[in-house]
Amino acid sequence: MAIDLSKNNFLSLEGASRWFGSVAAVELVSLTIAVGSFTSIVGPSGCGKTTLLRMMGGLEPLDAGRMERSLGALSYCFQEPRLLPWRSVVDNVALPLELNGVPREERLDRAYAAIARVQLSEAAGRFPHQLSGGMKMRVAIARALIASPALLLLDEPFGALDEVTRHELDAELRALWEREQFTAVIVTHSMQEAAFLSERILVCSPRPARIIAEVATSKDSRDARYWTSTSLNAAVRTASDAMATAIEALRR
Amino acid sequence: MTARPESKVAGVVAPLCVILLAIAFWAAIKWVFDVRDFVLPSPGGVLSAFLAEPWPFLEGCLATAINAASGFAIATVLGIALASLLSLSRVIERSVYPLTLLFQMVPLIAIAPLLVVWCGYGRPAIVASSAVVALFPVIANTLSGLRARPLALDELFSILGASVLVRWWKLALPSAVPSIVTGLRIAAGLATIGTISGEFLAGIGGKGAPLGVLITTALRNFQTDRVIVCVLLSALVGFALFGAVSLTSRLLLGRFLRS
Repeated sequence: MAIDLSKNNFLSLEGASRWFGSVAAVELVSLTIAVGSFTSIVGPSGCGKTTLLRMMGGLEPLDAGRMERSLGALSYCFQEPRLLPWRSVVDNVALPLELNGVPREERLDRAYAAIARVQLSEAAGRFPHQLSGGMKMRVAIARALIASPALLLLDEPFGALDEVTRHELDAELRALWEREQFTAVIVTHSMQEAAFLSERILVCSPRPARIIAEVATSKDSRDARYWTSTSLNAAVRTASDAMATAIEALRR
Repeated sequence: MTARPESKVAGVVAPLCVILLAIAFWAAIKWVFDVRDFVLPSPGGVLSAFLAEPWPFLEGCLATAINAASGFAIATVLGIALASLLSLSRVIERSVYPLTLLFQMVPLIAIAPLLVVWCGYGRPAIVASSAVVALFPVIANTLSGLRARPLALDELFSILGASVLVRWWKLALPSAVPSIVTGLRIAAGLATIGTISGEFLAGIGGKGAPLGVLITTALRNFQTDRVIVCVLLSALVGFALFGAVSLTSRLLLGRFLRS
């Protein structure tokens, strides 16, 4: 039973499962992520969606099943910013380039540009302990995007931020994706965020995580302004209904 | 943030009072029990022993300071290097670390004669003795710091595809800095102890003789006042080394120490 990782798929999972001791966190998940697509994974808290994303990122082994992933740079945005406390903002952002051997001057130039994109220019020389939670997360986003990844995995990156900041960063993220067309997968518990950002929403069951519904959002909903659009709200309602129906069906 | 005047009183004046009190107690014992000079000289006697001929003491102080600083420097470099090697592999660590612990149990005074056999009399044996004593706290603290690198950041480096060496240099070592500094503070004190013991056994007399040699010479001549001068000066050397480590770590490494 070989996986057909055709040119159109960046990543594919087949029967992927993960147990922690005797508890299954992820069970028999099969999915494919198309090149250049933006996919959301939503589900109730603690359902194992983070574990699923970690498996995609290679941070968690598969206890069963298979995964295939195209070659190409991978970036992972964790739930927490995970900054190096002894490095200034600009040196934190430049870290991926530094590890890739990019010369100092070039990587600092690119780091300043990335910091400007997340509107943190005035804080470039500060240290993480001098930043607010939202600023730290912006630094983490800048760091994730600086190396122009082919695949960007985001694990509820804006969950800890205030709404205004979150909308700003979501809009920024979507604009970046439209411009650079990398492949992105985001785990979130916000249906609005999922509908706004992605073309496809995968709904997870309560633990162990399984994909129980899939909702395609129209191009229209993503073109709309975040909060005000009716089409976005329609997409949110569709996805929420699908999730509720699927969970209801599971209980029966 | 400015220090309030009360805290200055507590920080400087109070310890000074205690020291003065201790000296007074010393003088009182001497006076009340009429202790003979070669058993316990008076504080004034010690001071005048120093002032009568200060240069040999100061030269000895300098020699001991150089010995201790050299031993400390060697222990620092060697300790961090060895701990790093041990941290690279669990297998190496598990097989070698018990040996280093065993080594630590060996009292230096037992090794010192061997150091004389291997290095000869004089500075090399003294510095070696200082380094051997100071080495283990550096290894132990560096190792625990390297092992305690945060898992969250380790994952970040995995995602970034960092090699073992890069991970050590850019993540493990910087995050171990607070532990390393703790180890170095302990090592600073021990380096001075190791130096004085080394000087007892391997020191060479004559002009510029280190404090350990001055102590043994004075002891042979029943010049207890001179012994006490040397003891106080060697404490000063240890204190200076400790202070230098603390100050350097605070000035240079401030950002590593808060997280």
